[in-house]
Amino acid sequence: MKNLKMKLARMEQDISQTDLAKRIGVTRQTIGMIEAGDYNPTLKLCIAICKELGKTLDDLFWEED
Amino acid sequence: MKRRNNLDEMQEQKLLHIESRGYWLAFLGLGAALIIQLVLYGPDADYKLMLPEWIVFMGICLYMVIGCIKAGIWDRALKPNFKDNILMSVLAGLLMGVVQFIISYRNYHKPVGSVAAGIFTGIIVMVLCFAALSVCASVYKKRKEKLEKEDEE
Repeated sequence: MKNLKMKLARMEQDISQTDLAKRIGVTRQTIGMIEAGDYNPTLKLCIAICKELGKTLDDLFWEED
Repeated sequence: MKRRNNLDEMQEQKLLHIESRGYWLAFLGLGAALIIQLVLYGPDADYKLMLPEWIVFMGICLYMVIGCIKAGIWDRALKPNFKDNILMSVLAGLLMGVVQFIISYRNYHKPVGSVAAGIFTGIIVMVLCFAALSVCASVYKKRKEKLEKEDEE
């Protein structure tokens, strides 16, 4: 399932996938795959993304039924 | 039909680690077995018997190289640059040079000739290894650049 919440949070802050990837220390592909729902990140990476985007785990990774 | 997975996340991770170690044991063991056969039997080695092992070994090498380049992965520690490529080529050259020296000395008992054979083999292996690494590094860089640009939103 696509992670649109993460994509929106990133776009709200006007950060490109490349910039976010650089700040967190991963590749652009990884960010692209998380947003596309093709990769399940570890909790460590989820927290790093949340911190960088100023969001909580619930904000970005909690899936509503 | 998708097969049901009996493992939970933690068990899946553990299994991947075990499989990874198993792979490296098999790969390095196969490489060592080939070198040991060459050292022990030298020119008398039965190359027909060694051929299947060599094919499997090279098949694994090709699979790893193609798979990693396709995924845009080089190595955990090494970088695809001149310095690291030279370093690995020199190590490969040294290893094969020593192996050739031992094979030669065991069979002909001529120290000078064996050293010359070792140096010659070492240099050839080093040059070929460096060429292969340079080609792979170049293909890898292009692939990585493509992956980094692909579907960027």
